[in-house]
Amino acid sequence: MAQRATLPMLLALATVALGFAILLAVQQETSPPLIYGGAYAGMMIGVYGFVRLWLPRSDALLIPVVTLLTGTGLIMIYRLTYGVEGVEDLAISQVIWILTGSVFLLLTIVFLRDYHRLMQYKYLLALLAIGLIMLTFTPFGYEVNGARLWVQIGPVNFQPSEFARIGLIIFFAAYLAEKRDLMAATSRTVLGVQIPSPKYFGPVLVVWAASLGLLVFEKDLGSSLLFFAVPLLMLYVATGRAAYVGIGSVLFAIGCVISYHLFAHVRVRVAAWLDPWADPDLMGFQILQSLFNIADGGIVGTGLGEGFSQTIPEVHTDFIFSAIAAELGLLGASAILLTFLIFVYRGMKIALLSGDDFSKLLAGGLTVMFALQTLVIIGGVTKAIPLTGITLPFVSYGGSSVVGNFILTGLLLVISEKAGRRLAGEEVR
Amino acid sequence: MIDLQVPLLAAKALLLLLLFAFVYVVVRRAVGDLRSLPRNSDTFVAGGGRESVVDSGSEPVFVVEDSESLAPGTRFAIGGGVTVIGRSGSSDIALRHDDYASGEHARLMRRGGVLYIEDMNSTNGTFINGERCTGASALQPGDLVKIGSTTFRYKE
Repeated sequence: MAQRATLPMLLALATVALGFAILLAVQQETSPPLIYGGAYAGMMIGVYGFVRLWLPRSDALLIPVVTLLTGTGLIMIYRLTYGVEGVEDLAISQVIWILTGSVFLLLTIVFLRDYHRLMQYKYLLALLAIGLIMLTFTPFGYEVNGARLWVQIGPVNFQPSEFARIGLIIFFAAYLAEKRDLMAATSRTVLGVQIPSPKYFGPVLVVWAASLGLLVFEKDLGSSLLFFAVPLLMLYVATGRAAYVGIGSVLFAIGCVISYHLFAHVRVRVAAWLDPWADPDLMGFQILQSLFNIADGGIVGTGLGEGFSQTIPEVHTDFIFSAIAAELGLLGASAILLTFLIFVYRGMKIALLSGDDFSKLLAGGLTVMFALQTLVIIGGVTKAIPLTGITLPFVSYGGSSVVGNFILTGLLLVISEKAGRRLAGEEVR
Repeated sequence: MIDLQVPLLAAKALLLLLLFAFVYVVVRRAVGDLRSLPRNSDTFVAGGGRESVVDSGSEPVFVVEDSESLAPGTRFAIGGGVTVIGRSGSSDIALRHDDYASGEHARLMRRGGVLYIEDMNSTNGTFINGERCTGASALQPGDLVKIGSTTFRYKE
């Protein structure tokens, strides 16, 4: 595992600081309260230092990657919301979310250093995850833009699905790691495909169907897609049988056709994807503005603070990538994509180097989810696939998403620590 | 007011440069990490299983560290294909009269330059560095593999 990452850390912070300096020079505005910038930089350095001390064999390279992504997100959120009526303070609340997320990351690595304990609580975690999603149907839940994703308890608003997905991945990893051999031993072959005995496969199927059903009912397209694909890919990782991916793709196609006919909002999304010009002022407006902005950026971008990305509705959450492409151009957007790729590569590497099934499946599952989420939203805003509203991990504005992804990073760190110890042990002996 | 155009342009260029400097440094480290994996982890050979001819000087071997049935220091070269370890005489590495080993205890195979070990539902299990292995696990050079009463060290 790469352990020292001080230079990337410094580069990431320097990039973010320079970005803010350019933005302020261009806008010729007063600086945002510097204390937030200082708190952010201090926290990221603190997290890095603590990870190096507490988990010396872990993959600390993840921290600079997270720093660059959250920092870029902060610059763009500040740029897109500064002085805009109603959302002026979004950048400051994003800083607070990043600080909260960092605290959750630290709690994760302190209390879950021995993450194998999670295996004992797998059913509890699955119940908790489904319970969290169900919370949106109680009076605590409320609708935003036609999807019932949000829950308000006291002063805290959050999107339960962002946390539920981590719980479910832990459940699937623990269950598959434990029952893998049994499932292989008791499977029967039907039409050339091995079907595991329902006795062992049942719980996976029930949890999978329940979470998926609830999310579809919530009209949370993006999360449904992730909840559908991630367990299937984990099953593929656990068994090595490409047949599951094949069956999954067929099921996915059937699911798409059914939901297209069943739900009006799916039809709207598909129509806007196929031909945004059919209704450029309403249905196609968002995606067209996104495309205009990306095109406006060209190779090197308009420069920070000089684009027109505020024309895109919801630009600071789902469409933040379009704003990056507009102001930093093809080059900046590619650098961000490469940074995401590095995160995913490190995650897969951690999965490969881990010694036991649970670690492999957990690291693999979390990474696959992170990668798919990035792929789905960037594909959506560039009109490669129909748009499903999910956040760009670490970059988009959104408390639940930021905190959830910090917890995910924390889990990857403790898994990499164990893998790193396993590797280092041999070098010593 | 001071004219900021030129320094601003320079700063914008510097920002993109810094972004790519970051990517470059991170990729360098990530790939350096990749190189420290098994030394002869050649590119994946389509069809799998075949060993690369390059680096023939460092053929992977299993060296007996401690055993009741084999002399310590005995070296077993691990070729391509599947190598079966077990008590039965037909095994590629036969652990005769080792009461703690199953007939066909575990098998070794090469995929993409990495050596994997898989327990074949043995009674007493296969241990890598003291941890019981489940399913196919990748071995790193230096790993200690315990099968029955015999401990092997995997060397490149």
